[in-house]
Amino acid sequence: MAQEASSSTSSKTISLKTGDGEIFEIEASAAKQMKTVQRLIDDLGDDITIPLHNVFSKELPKIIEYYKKDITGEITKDFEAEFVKDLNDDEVKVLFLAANYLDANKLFEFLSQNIADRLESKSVEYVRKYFGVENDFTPEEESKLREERAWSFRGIKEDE
Amino acid sequence: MEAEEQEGHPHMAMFMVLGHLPLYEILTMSSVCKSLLDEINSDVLLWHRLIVESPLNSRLTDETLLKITSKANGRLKTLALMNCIHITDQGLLRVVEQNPYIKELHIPACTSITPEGILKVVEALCERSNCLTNLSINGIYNIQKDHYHMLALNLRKNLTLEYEQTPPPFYHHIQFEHNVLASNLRLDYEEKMQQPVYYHKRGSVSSFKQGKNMRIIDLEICPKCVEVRMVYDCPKVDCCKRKECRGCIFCIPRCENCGGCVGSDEPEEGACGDILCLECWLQVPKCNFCNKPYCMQHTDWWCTSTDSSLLCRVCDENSHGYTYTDVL
Repeated sequence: MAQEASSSTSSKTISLKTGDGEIFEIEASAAKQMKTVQRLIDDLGDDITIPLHNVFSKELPKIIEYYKKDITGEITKDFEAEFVKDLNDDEVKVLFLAANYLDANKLFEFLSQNIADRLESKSVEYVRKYFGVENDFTPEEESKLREERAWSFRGIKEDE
Repeated sequence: MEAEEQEGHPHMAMFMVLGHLPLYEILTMSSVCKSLLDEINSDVLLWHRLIVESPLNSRLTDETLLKITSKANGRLKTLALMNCIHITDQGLLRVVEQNPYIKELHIPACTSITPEGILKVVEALCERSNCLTNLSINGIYNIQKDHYHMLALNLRKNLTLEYEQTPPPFYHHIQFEHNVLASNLRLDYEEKMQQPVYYHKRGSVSSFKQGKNMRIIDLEICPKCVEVRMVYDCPKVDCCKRKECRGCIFCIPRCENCGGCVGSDEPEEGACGDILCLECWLQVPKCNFCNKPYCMQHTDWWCTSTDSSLLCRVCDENSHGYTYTDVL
């Protein structure tokens, strides 16, 4: 297959195997957009099924859907809005981390913005839970932080 | 995935979200854990872009603004103060003096800022080439044509470099006597090349957040009344005068739901007082009592009556009043 003319690389497909053992096909041109995948192809060759230990069968199809649209230049604001419309915050997070692992820059940037939008007006506790992060501030440190941020809680006397 | 990361610590990828957050959410993040606080305090690039909106807009003072913008070490590039009512001309000027490389300035509805204040700031930012490229000032009081022309003149200086390469088609054939006319024409050309501006989308996520093609100045001279206003395009596919159906909201009333022009004989008023075109009016639910609808922005104002039918707030209040006196 390595002897095929370069004009056929656009129709060539690469096999990807998820961490839970499922296999998906993507176009070689889409694989190019995922730098991690491309690096593995460069190392292992394009005939082999590329193993993706950290990506699973739940999220990979969605990622493939995005890049299918990308290689035909069809990604619009409307498409992106539809793409995330029915995803809950955790599903977006999983996709985001997968895009990070795959080094899929365009999708990663888009999902970063989407997560930022979803964090609008959320509380500190919500963010902690969402990121899976523990509060490692001491009570003294926390009260110092609250003092510094006091202006952002209180209103100016005229309006509150 | 998380087995590779330390328990309880944020995945490094999450830091990348920080750059997309407005100030309030950045402050929230800084209270989440130590590594996020450290990252936020030490990442100067993060502070090159500052977006202040609700709920901080009414709490931000000149002093606090200066403190926060100083984190950019003089390299602030985008400053967005959305309805920050306490920021004054002096406060803004101080920030600009410390950050002379600002490229985008969005100060809509910052009602303590005056047109003269904006002029001072824009002049300062346009002194050198490759500086201020986008300005949003809708909602600032008392902007007159003189102010607008001066602003256009200043911002035009930066366009010169871009347009040297691709001058607009009619540009060469027109003689100018006055620079002001030239600057207006150039900006007019610019406007026509930009994305259309629709009335019903006016409140949605600002274009600067989406990285869309932005106008140089958000305001225009209304082609109908020649005042300095937001000028909207018509999204109606079958609007007979589509290309010319551009004007401020006072000259061309528009539907809240679809942004289409509403003829003088058809405006239908919703229970919220907003206008809908006939098509939209026919499609939306109506109050069971007065038969008025709510526009898309006010759908959360609907009340339900005792028999589960839709009531607008006014009729709902009236019905309670009636019941109350009835009980008495």
